[in-house]
Amino acid sequence: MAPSMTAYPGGAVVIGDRYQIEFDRPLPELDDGPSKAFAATELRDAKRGVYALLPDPSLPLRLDAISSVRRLDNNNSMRLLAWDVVDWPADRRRRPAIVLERPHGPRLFPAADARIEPFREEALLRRVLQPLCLVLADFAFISLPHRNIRAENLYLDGTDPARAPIMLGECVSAPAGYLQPVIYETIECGMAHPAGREEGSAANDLYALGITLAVLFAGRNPLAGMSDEEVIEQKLAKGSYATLVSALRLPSAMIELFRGLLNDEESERWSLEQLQMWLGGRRTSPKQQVRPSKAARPLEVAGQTHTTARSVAEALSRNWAQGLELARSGELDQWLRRGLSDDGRTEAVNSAKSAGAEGDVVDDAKLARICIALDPVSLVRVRNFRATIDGASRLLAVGFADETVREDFATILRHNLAGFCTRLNSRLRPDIIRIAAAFERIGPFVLRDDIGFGLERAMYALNPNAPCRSPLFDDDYVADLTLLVPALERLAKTKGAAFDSLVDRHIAAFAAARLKTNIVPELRELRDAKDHFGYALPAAHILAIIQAQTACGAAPALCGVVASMLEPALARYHNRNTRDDIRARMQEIAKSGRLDALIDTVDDKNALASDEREFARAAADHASIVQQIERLEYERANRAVISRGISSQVASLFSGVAATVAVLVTILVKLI
Amino acid sequence: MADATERREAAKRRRVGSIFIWLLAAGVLFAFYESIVLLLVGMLPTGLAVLFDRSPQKDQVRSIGYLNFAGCLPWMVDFWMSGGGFARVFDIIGDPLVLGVMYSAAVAGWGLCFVVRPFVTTYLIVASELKESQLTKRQGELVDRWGEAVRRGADEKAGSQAEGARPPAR
Repeated sequence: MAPSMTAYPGGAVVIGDRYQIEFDRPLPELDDGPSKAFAATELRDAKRGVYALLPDPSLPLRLDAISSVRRLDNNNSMRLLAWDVVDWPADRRRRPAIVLERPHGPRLFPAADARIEPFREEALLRRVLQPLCLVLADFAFISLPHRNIRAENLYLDGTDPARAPIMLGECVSAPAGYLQPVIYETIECGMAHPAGREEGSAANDLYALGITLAVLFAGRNPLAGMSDEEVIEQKLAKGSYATLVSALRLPSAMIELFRGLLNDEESERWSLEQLQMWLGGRRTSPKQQVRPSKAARPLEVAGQTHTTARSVAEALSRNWAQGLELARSGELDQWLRRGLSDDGRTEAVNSAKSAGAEGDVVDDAKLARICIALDPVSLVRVRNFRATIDGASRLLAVGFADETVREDFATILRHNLAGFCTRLNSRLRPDIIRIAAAFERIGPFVLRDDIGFGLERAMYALNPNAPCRSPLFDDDYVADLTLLVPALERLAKTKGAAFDSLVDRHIAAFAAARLKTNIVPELRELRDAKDHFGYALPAAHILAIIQAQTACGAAPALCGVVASMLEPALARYHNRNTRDDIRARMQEIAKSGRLDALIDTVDDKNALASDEREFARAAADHASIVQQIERLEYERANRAVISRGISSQVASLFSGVAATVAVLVTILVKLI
Repeated sequence: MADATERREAAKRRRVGSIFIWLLAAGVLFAFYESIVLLLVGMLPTGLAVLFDRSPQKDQVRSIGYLNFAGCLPWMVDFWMSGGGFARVFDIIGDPLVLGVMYSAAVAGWGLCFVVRPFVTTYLIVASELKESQLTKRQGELVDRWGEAVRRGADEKAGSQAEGARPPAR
């Protein structure tokens, strides 16, 4: 979806001539994590309650979800009305802004550590579960997980806290699951970095719904005060259901609901249909979760004992240096053989050790494989890089400035850890297997350090929501390709011709990943460029392709900058008249703002060839003139000799004529 | 082998031709020996010119010879019309006036070479300057239009042509 332009009547920020954001009226009660809320007005209907949410520009929006979510119209879900990238006066930069329907009441659960009046069973089902089921059905219809379901993201849509309907908050201002506390995330997503959590499926939403219901039923967070690691440890040790619900006095009817929703095995977790059937009154016996096999003797990692393969994998990844030591010393193998006695895990760890070209050396890649073998969920852990296969590219996008993040991601791609994971666990979702295959395909791009390739290319190719991270756009938010040329146009207006380079590594990779056209020839020219001009022409070519493909409108200021950068290109024309003519045409075309026309004028192959031909002819002419002048000089120096020779010729000619006349006269006189 | 045979045939043909010409000349000398004596004496300046003119074209010889012959022709005609004979030949060449006319015609031919030279030199100077100014103007136009690079291009071309660029020897 291409956003509309913004305007500023009276200094206010306006989106699409319809929503006015009041940047001097923050609404902290509606903030959503790093996304800040501000008062807004719908210009056509001032009575309608709307507000604007300004996401953190360092995080990628769920851009691919926005157009689908906008189509949803459910009273129990906050409506997304518009979005745009706007000039934000307070920060003197451009930021994405989302306009949302404003709930008529406060948050249902004000903060993660808040305490509220516990919901009774009937109220919980009627006011929370039933409406949220309808919302999840709507999201299932658009094949999109919400991934932001938690008690703190529920709002009262009225003033009466006991009767007001519940409204679920927005879900697009941050990457999927990024804002969720670990308690609301499945075990594998909880183990990942918030930015590295998977986009997920309805199963993730149903799990988060189960936790939300448990929190509301308890009136508090049952795990409040625990660190994220402790929450994961508890869930790994006892399972999510036992961790969250065991301390609550649940009515027997609800046990089945919580067991179904909080099942840690995704394939065993209730689907939306099962939940709807349960709401419809169909009761079944509660499903018991299969507990993982425990070792006869524990393995001690960093002072803590672990008895399951999964918790050992987590402990090794959290204590990387000791994990390497345990793997190298053989203590881990010993525990697997004598302690765990799980042939499947032991075999998987052995295959992890034999895979790769490292031989017997236990390095980071090998330990990462061992962690996968011990816990073959869609989770990849390398040193501090902890992400699901689906979320790894998002974590790279968020942490790209951090060199260790880049190195760790490169390790994942170089050693195809995602592929190893999918080989070990054939029960992973098809979309995860597709993403792992994409990782394998993108690997060669990362190995090339050329402009347009490298990790930048991997980030943009694997992550369609990642905005362009070019330093040129430090004060802008280029969410997709349609915004790139307009962003450069704004820069051109403010900076004038003070550009070092129009296409840097990020812009080149962003364009290569997003364009439908193959720009490898232009990237090759950029790589081989030896001077400023050599760089400017292919860079301008790439921008022209983007402008043509995205139909993003005229860019006269950018064209002016490009024209000045391409000025040295005119030196390729020998004919000064042609050069002046093209310079005049360039200035004319620059005003029209069409980059392709500008480049066609400068880089006209036919004109260049014709100029080259004519120049060769002119050089030949000049050479001939030089020869003629040399000849004249030679004649001047030897004029006496030459003159004598020619004089003799002329004299003999005159003599011959005179003699002929005399002979004829003689013959006439003597003989007639 | 065939070439050697052809060469031998050609040499033989040349020898036969040469013998034929000498025989013809001997015949003419025998038939018109009186006229030839008259002509030899009358065109003595031309003979001298042949000796002194070293140029390959022999333009001076031709210049003198044409007029010298024109000067001899009236007495040759008189000789033929008077019936011939050596006595008549000696009468003609014994007359200083006749010899003066014949030799004056030769001197006129020789003088023509000197008279023409200043005109020719002046013409050459004017033509050369005119051509040089035209060439310089054209050269300037080329540099104006194509820049100094056209000189370098020309130099490269001139360099590549090397010896071929030198003016022909006269």
